[in-house]
Amino acid sequence: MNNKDLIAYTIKGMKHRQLRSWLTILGIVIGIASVVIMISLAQGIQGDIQASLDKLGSNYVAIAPGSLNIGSAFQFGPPKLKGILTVRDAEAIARVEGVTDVSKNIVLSFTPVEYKKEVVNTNVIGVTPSAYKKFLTIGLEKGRFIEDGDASGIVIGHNIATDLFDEEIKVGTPLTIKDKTFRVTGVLNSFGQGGNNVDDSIFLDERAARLIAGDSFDKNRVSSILALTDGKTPPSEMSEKISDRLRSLHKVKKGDEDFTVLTAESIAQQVGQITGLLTLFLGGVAAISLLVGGVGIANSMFTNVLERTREIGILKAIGASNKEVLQLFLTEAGIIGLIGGLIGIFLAVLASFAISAFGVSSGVSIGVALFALIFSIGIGMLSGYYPARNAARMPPIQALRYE
Amino acid sequence: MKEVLKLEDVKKHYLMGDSTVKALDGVDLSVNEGEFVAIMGPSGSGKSTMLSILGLLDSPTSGRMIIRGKQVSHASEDELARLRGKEIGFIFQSFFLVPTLSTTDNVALPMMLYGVSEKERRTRAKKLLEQVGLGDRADHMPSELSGGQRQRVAIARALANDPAILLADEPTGNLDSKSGAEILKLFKKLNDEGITIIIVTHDPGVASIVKRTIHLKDGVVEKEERRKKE
Repeated sequence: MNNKDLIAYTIKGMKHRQLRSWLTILGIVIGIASVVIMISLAQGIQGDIQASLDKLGSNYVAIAPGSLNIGSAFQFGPPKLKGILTVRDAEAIARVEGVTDVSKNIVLSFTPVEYKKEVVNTNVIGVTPSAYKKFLTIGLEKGRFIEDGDASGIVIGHNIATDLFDEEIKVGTPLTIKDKTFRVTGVLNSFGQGGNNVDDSIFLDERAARLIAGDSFDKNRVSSILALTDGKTPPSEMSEKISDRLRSLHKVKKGDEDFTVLTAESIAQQVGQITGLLTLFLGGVAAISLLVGGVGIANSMFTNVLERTREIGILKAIGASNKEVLQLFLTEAGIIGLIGGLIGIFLAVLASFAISAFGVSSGVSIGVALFALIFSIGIGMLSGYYPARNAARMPPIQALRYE
Repeated sequence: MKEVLKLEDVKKHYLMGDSTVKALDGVDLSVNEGEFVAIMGPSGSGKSTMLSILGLLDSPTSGRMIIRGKQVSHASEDELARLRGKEIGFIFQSFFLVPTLSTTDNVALPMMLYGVSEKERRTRAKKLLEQVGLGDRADHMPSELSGGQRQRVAIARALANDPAILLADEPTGNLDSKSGAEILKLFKKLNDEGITIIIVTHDPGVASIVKRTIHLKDGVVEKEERRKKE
């Protein structure tokens, strides 16, 4: 029997048992669709995070207070979060070889901002404008960035301009932040997903931010420090140099740091670890549903063999060999896997369009689809193999007498 | 006359618990081309075992079986399957058509298993259906046919690969007497056209149309009757 005959014979049989064939296929559809959706989603999230990291360039080192050790995903217990950073730290970092600019950042989250009697709370971030401008590579949509020491200028994120207030905020508009009135000098381009709230933040000079914060923010303290580097020294080495300097300033030993130094590289690494785990977890959940689909095929094939015992006997009586009977049943299992896989991938593509509409980019890559299809046919044939072998080995007389 | 089938001292013994059942205990038989033979006997006579061995569904414990000059006893499972498809045209009491296939596809099935091209299969299936008087039922499904019609399809299928013998197991057992008589008439017509037929049955009515009857009892040939051509 050639392949064309095998397939034609099998499809005629499956049409005859349409309901059960479709139910078996459905099991595989669900399994494959969930595997493909989960993997694509995880890949999408990973891609999004990487894309936002790329927008920040790579020649920077960020220093945050407290030890936020997320280096190991299997670390138990709360991270150590104590410790503060000071202006002195920032000045020391500025003197480290290879550092070109340092931004002293002051984060005032949930600060009331007023425009035409409308008050909204949002992030207000004090920065060293000359340094921060170089770090924020998204650039301005309109206007210009603030200058160092600018006491009355502010730069606003894209959402602040378009969404936060009833009216659009344009360059030159006055905004009142805690009794002080500032004038918008520029509007940033949209950062998009994963931008750590850049789109929802207002940037101003560090000293102006201290005036807004008043006594509630110690005059020596900074929220975080951003060091830009010349790009000649590898990021990991820069990170180590800065850590060294801070350790001696804070009088702490290696491993007991009360600060965290992050580079684009280390962030990407940690994010990679987390999304890797996410992929593994989501994939695992999906694999279970695929396994259930496989059990469904095996079950259906067993019923199939039992139900078609007579047919197996007839086929053998009129000349079918064991191998041909095996091929027939394996072809059926393979076709179930193929159709289930194709429909599953199709549904996954539809679902990832829907997911993308919610903001997470999720696309089914050709690689994932191809893998899923081969996997689906494979699981179909694997779970169909044992029942098919049983069918093939059945002695013809016994099969013919089966009632 | 050319000999198409020969059994030499064929024995089939089964082990049942501690005792050996001698289903066939030394059967000799020679069938020539164009013969029309009935094998008869009460239940327990070894008739079913004889059918399985003649149909190559089972191998004898000892003895030789030769089809068209070829020794076939003790062939491997795959060789037996191939020989069944080519040399034996099986006809069953319950027709045993494949329910998912049309009349034409059922008739073409042994040719498909034998590797005949699709075009040739269709042409031959059509011709065979005409030969059994079902030329107008080529696209029907088995469930749409009467018992007598189904048995005709089964006969057409049995003829598909031009086998050495047509081997029928109680072919009229599931039919009313009118359809049964028509099927026997068809067998007679096919035999007149030169086809070798062996019918295994306990129906004495069948014996009246064949040229030769072999009576089995306790696993051996008890007696043999030959009728002169009328």
